[in-house]
Amino acid sequence: MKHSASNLPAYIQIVNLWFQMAYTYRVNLAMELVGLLLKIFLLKVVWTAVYAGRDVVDGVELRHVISFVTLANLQMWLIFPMLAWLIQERIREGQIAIDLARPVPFLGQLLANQVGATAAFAPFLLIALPLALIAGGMEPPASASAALLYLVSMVLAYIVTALMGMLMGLIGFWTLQTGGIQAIYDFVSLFFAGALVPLWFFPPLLRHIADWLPFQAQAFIPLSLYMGQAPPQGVAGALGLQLFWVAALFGIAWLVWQRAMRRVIIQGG
Amino acid sequence: MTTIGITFSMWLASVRSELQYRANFLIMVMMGVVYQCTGFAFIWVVLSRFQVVAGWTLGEVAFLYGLRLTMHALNGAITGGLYNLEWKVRQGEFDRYLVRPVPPLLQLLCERVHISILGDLIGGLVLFVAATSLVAIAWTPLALLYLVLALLGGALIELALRVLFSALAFRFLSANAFMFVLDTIFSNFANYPLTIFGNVLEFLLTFGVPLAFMAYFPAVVLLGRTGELLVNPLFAYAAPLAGIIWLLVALYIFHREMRNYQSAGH
Repeated sequence: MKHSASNLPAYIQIVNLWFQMAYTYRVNLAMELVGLLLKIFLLKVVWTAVYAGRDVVDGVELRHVISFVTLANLQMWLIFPMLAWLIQERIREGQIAIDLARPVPFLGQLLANQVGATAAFAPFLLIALPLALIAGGMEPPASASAALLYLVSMVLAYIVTALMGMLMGLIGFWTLQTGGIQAIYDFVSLFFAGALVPLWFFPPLLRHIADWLPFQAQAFIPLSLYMGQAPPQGVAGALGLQLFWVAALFGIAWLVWQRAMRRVIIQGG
Repeated sequence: MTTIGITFSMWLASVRSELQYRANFLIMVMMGVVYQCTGFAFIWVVLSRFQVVAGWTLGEVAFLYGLRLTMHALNGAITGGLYNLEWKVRQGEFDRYLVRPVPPLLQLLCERVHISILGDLIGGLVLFVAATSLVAIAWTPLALLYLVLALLGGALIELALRVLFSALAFRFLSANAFMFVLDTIFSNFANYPLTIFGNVLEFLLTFGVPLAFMAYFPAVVLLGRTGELLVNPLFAYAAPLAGIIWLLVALYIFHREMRNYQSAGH
């Protein structure tokens, strides 16, 4: 830790690499966004169809549902748990040994990669934003304080996602392959975060399951605050729940990390 | 005859290579099932609250979804290799396909079988069987024959469009990104009654991209909902033919585009 200041140039270098990567793969990223916009458009069409001309269902207006799912899908795209993919690739290529031997701490490298990827992808999202307004729909935040709460909640959502990505990546130390887990995560997280169906429309049993999972911290909680609709736990309770998941996932990731390191040594010896 | 024999043994070899890793095989199949079942969960949750979408009940939408998933799995059994074309053209590796005694496209199609399609197949069949218990369909021999033809026809349409899009690689050296968008459209839009998209889009999804001919038209015919169609119901009854027509078009264009292959290795 005492070297952290001198490591800064290395971290900046990693972040820089992501900007180059995003530029190199700009066509792929653009196509990914086209896919995302198509999904958002489909969600709008389906929600409009099931509302069938009614303005309000369960106290929620159609335009708010559309705004909710549009924003949820955009932000889930941006806070994609890239560490799952990154760690898996490094393990598969055997690069992980070099990563661990570098003078810069491995966890610091991961953090720099996560921040770098998000920073480099964010401009693409800004381009997609006006298109998403057409494909889906967006309502402004309920108030200035709602906007502020949303930003705070998004920071926590981001950390939760990064930790989940790291956890999935670390599983690769045992299974060597995490592609399957990631594919399942992609859907399960979208679904239980409320990005397809806002949780208030869930049947009771499913809602109960969603309440016990960490995914609601990724979209449902921040977006409820954005809409000025306090989740059942209240504003403080909702942010507290997000903090709880940050702490819990960090604890689990730390334990798995310790075991993973021992595993690398065993493999090496 | 030899061509068919060789092609089939090449395909079997790809299947065998997928079966080499038993654990991975099981994980991939399970992943396919979970992925597809969860995909349906969205529709299930929405309809458990709203009952109908464009007049279609949960059972009817499940029928449509199962139909499409099954034809998607059938198509997936022979199109896994198309994603490799872009890379082969860039590397100049397509040369090899040109000098072998089997048509290049056939070699490409049989080269890779993504075993997760078995999960799609299981998911599709389970959903389809569950849905048929929820909807009333008179399974006459004619209806069964139409079902089989429609499944094959739908698989051919997807095959045709994938071949068509992969051919972009010869000229532009990149095709996968476009195929990815195509897959997104298929795996999302084709699962719903097309009336929800409004008239203009429904027309485009019928004659622009032949999405309607895949699962929607056959489902409309079998569920007896032809009254909601924008086009003459004859189009819906003739849906299985669309696969053959589109495949012929795709084959023609693929072979014409193949002449643009420069064998350079970029």
